[in-house]
Amino acid sequence: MEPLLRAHGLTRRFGPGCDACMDGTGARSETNRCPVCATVWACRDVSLELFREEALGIVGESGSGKSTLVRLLHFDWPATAGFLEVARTPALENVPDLFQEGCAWSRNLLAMDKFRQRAVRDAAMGIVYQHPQLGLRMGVSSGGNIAERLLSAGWRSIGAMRKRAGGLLERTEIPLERMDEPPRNFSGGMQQRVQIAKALSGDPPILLLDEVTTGLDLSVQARVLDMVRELRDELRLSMLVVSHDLGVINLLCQRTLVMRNGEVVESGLTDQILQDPQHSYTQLLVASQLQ
Amino acid sequence: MLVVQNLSKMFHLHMQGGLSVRALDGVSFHVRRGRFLGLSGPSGAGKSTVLKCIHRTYLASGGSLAFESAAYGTVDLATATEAQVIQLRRSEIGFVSQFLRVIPRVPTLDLVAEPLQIRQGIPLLEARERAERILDRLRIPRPLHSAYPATFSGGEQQRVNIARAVGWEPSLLLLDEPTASLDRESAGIVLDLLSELRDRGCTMVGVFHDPEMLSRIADETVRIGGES
Repeated sequence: MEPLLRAHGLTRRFGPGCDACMDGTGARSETNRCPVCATVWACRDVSLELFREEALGIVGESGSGKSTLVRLLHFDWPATAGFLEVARTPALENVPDLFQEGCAWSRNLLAMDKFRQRAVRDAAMGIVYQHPQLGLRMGVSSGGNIAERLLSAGWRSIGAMRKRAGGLLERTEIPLERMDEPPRNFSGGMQQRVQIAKALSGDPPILLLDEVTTGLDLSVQARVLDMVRELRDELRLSMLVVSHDLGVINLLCQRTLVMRNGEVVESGLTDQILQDPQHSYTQLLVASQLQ
Repeated sequence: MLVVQNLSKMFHLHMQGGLSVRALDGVSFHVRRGRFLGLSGPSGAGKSTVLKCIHRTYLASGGSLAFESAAYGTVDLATATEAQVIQLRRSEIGFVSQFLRVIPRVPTLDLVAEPLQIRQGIPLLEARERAERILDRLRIPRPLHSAYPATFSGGEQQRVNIARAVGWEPSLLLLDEPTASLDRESAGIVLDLLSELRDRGCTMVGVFHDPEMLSRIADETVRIGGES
């Protein structure tokens, strides 16, 4: 298994920060908010490796920093500190000045300008948010949502874009006769499937899934998860799966990180995390699971 | 093939006021290639714990588990990287748990064919044919091949579990009570399948509740817990 993406010391704080922050926040202090300066450390010193063709799970309660982590990886938010590198891969060969001559790993993506971050994101990443309105323009047709993404990736032929959008929507089980309807007309499960189609439109090697089934009813949840599982195998995707639901993580991921108060408190093989959790918080999480 | 030395396992239960439970204390044994090692001992002695430590579902607290792998040479399963363990599970080490735990909503035949495809690269149609033969042999009725095993009886689920594990011919197979919920006849079929697999060179470590089953298949046994 070869790594595709690696992050080191990823940090995002909201507030000025002070000398008391490091001792006053984090999993040990049971808060991510500094008692002295009120700075919130949403994500603190997170390191991870995402391998090629693996699904890596991120679990933790609300406010543990899971979604912040995804937003940092997707350049939605700038990081306060940290290192993020991507391995040389065919999808990224055309991004200018990303790799130094002969290097297997890119420069620090977090230190790059917005233009190149966007180029990396367009070429290598797809994202599906918990709330469809973050990932889709609800008033624009579903096909148009996908075309918009294709346009920014350099597509120009309307016919080709329409065909590609139709193929993706068909793959995610959206009836073709509805591709000209806006997602706002759709059910929650359908909206998630349009988001997945859009996320996959650029053939990205990496797919980020942020609580994609949260809030869906059980049968719809099952259908979306089955689809994600099939797509993972079919397109040989590397996925980062963020969920507070251990069942989702267990279904999709071989490895898992557990977050709490902005920090990673435990990581390991998913079956080990579930059956032999080490950290007190992970033990609480596993014991709280409905069977 | 596998040398276990001084294996110990402690569970620290933070939710029960930091209670520590010692599950294994200084377990040592070895098993040679192509042999079947049975683990015996009373309930709660830690037999399954040994298997789970070898599979890395449990993290060993101490000791070493030296496995002769094709991919990495001799590797200590207690300290191997996660990537190594995932690779070994994919290509060399199989585990038959006490209960069937599989991805829901996948038909039985596909569940058995999948490891043949993924692990041995056998094309879909041939993998399905082979899966069918294994299921026939384990007497899973044909109409059930396209059904989801979640609806099956305990004994049928256990046989699907066996079918999934023996089809792809791992080099080390860990078995946790593989015959526990089976009648004598089905258990006999399972034991036959396992001994054929062993004869083709697969090394096995198995826990059996029933001493008779154990003596029918094991080349040697190690007692866990109590005095040896």
